[in-house]
Amino acid sequence: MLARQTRGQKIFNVFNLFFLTLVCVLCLFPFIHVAALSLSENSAVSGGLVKLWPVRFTTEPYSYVLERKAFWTAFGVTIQRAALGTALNVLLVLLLAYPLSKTREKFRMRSTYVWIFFFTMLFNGGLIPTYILIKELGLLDTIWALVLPGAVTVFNVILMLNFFRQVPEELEDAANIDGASHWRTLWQIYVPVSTPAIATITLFCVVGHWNAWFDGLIYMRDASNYPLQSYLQTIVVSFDFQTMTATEAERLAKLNDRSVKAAQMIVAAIPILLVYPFLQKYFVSGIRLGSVKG
Amino acid sequence: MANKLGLSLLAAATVFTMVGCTQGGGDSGTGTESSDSSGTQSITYTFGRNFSATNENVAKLEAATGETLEDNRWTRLFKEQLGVTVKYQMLSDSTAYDQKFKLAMASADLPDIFQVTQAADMKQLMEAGAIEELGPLFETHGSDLLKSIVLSETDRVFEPATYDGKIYGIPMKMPSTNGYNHLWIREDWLTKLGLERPKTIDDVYKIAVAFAKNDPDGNGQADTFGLQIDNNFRYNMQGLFWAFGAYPLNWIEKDGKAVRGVVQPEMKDALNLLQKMYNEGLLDKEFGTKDNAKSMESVVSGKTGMFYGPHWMAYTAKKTVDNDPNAKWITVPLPTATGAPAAIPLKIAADGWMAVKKGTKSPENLIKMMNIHVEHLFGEKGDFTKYFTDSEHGISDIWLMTPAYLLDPMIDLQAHLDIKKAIADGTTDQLTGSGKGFWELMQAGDWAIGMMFGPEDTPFDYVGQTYPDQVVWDAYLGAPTPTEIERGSSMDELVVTTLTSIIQNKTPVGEGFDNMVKEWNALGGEQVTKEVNEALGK
Repeated sequence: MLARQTRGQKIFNVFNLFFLTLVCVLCLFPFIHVAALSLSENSAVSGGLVKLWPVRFTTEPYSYVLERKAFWTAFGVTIQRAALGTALNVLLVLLLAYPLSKTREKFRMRSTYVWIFFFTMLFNGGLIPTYILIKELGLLDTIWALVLPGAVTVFNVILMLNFFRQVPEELEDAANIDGASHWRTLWQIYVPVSTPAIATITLFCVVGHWNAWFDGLIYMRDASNYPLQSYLQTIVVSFDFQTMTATEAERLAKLNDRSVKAAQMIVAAIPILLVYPFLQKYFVSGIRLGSVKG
Repeated sequence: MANKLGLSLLAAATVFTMVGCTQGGGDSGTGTESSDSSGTQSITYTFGRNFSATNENVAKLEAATGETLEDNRWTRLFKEQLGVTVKYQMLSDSTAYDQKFKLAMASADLPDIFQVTQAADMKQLMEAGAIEELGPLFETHGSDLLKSIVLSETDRVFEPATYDGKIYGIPMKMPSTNGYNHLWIREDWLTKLGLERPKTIDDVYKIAVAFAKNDPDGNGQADTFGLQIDNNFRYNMQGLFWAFGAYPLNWIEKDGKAVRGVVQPEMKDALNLLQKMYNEGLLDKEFGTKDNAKSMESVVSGKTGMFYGPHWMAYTAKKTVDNDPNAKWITVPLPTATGAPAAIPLKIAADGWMAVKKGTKSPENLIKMMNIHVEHLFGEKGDFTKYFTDSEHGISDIWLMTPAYLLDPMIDLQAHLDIKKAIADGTTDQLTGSGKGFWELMQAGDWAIGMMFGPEDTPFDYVGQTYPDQVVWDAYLGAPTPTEIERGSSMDELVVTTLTSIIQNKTPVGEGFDNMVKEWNALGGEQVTKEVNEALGK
């Protein structure tokens, strides 16, 4: 495996490492900056004095955030949403991708169905009709309004069905011969060999649910039902001067507490950061290696 | 990116608005009535408010006394006196409220009683017949106090809420003195550099030169600016434009016709000055990409000692003092080109209008709620320490925690005048109303309140000298005309980009401005002006 590197390769490696480190640092800077803001006194933050290190260190913003009931309520809603939504997403993706990954001989209308699903990727009902639908279904102000409209993520279905197709047909045939039903084949053959794809999709879904704010803002009338990002949006919202009333402008000037905003963003970002290393091990796609000989 | 998504969805929503509006009806609440055992009628209304659902002061109040937005000292009054229960259906601020509001209009999902913040939305609702006529109800049920407050500045306040001669919305009156723009200067820097306070705009320029070149912060480096400027200079620096008789945000009257201030030749003088200051390095070269908060960083960190802005910039100025205890801020009467007093163009200030959805039961309850609101702030039952700010728990904005609010336009100015007089007489004990409230806050060490309402060299000191004698009310107060709704944003964009480019010396003042006016007129400006004058009957 480890052949001797040529001079050119060595030089390339050095530059490559240097370049990638640089990119990493660039990605980290904003995060460190926000962390520094969250640990500084507000007047120093408003003066633009804080760069990468806290000025007049204080943990006040954090204790302020952590003592707030509304923050934790929103946090709870998001956890609930991410767990429920992701479970539903992944389940539906698997159930859909399995039949749609079959050949035309086994599932005659397959491409018709794929096209029907694909169509919804390009076109949707628009905001108002969707809102009316959700309202008439009585989903407003419930967690289901955040979870159900996006329950089937067609993009992920297509991703998954392509992955299923790469699974050697011999595995399915072997299961068939042993008398396994489709249901059993899916859960005991396909799912275990597809963990890298499932992990990827899970990550997409978790991050998607974690970051979504617009649906929360639209479908939740009661602010105590806001998911975390909708809640944060109400706090870090960029005011539009054209539509701003004088009362709002005055309130904004009074409450422009950027260190508290920074603290809330840090606290909100930590859980999702923790998901990445946890899922990382599933990205190693070694399981299938050696399952089929010949 | 998320923001863009929101905007495009909003755009989609706007398209549908016209259609949905006319459907009316809808299943949910038109005021749910029930009678309790004592026989008094009780009724629940759903409300819509432009107010942050996560407001800091509400959170503080809840922590202190357990009161919430739907159950507090205000809503309890409504319950006791009117049998009205308050339930919020739409609660967001600024752009989010706008989005929700348009969505509600389009899907016929409006609350029973709600705040309308945009004149254009008001017009649409009136045209579609989606809201109740309120004029006669205001006449019969409005208390004398409520009427006097709503009409205190001028009865033109109803203009944007009138359709076909009928009144459909009650203005949420605010102090129009909020529209003032002030010149803020670091007095300690003036003293240090041996400068006089400015009388003319030329003095302002000279001070800017000295502030930028003569090292006012004494650190031996040329790292200061002469005057703060940001990408929204058209609003934040109005005072500088006014110095030349230019009014970038107003309709003004010229030769008997209403014209748009931003395309008048007087603008050129102000632009000439700004361009000169830009060229000489007195302004931040990057102002085109900095919003007010970003740009004010240089003020807060003590690198800029002069800026234009409304009176509540005191909250920002205070942070300068946190960073540098020697900083001393003053505001001065607006300097003008000639040294003559400036004319102050003001719009009749209101935070929008309260409207009632068509078919709601007992719409007069809205008027009665507003009666109660003003009665407990400005009437005989007035209790500022309970209903304006909770001085016991140190929580402000209590007056906002009610579905329908309005303020006496004199509230701020009167407070200043009372405090000034009381200090002069040496009898601050007899202060009442807002004056008492502000004085108590000043005594408790609230720097910003002292800066805004204190007796001398403060924003309200200037307001007191000029209001209402030097005020010129906006020539047109009605809703945006059809052409403005359609083209207004591109017309505005043209103006902002051209003015920015002129200040940045990328476009010559004379030619650049004249071209902009031509293009503006072609884009729809001429049509809009015509429509406005027709609406005014000129």
